[in-house]
Amino acid sequence: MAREQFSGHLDMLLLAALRGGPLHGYAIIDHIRSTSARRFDYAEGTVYPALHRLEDEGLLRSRWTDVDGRRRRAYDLTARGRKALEGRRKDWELYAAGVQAVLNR
Amino acid sequence: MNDAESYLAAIAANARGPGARRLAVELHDHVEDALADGVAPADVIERLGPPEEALAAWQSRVRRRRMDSRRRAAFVAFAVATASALGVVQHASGHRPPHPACGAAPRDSTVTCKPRSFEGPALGRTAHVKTRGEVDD
Repeated sequence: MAREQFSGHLDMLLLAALRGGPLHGYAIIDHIRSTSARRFDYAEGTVYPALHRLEDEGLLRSRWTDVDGRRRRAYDLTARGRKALEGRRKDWELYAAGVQAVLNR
Repeated sequence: MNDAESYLAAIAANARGPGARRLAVELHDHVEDALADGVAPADVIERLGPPEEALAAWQSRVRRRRMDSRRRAAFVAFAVATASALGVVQHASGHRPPHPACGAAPRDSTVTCKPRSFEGPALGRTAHVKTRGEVDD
């Protein structure tokens, strides 16, 4: 997926990556890379400002944790973030179904 | 200075605003984790993208945060100014809404009522009622 297209969905993908529990930045990026089979082309450095922004918006919370003896900032979904993810997921499904319907016609 | 160090130095030097230091630390940790994961140093930097891209995303977040703070401050200032103006107007007019007399207001009303003025002893409570045969002095 091209960078411009991807950036519009970055927030949703970050929220979705955290659905299974807290992860630190590199683990979030690694999760998106492996589950998408490396389909997305984006600058990984832009993920961190996006995580801070989602935290500002109250959709994520973060804290320092110990990962294999290394101190890492782990992010987790808030209740509001979980709700936002469900809303964005529904919007995406409607959008994707609409596009698919037009393409298949 | 290698590419990773240049990238991190560019972030540390140009990222401003709340959380900028944490951003630099997280990107440093990212490089460390990627290298520990077996990613080649050149690939780590290529995947991170140019530092300008991360900095542009960071500046956008800082601007948004600043705008939110200003909006919140403006709202608080407006609320305080409105409350103060209302207080001044009420004080200047000296107007107080009249209290209804007790008994005039509905029984279940929460409005403060004004007690009726005392108009002498009520029969049966404090007044001495003369009985037959009693004579005034």
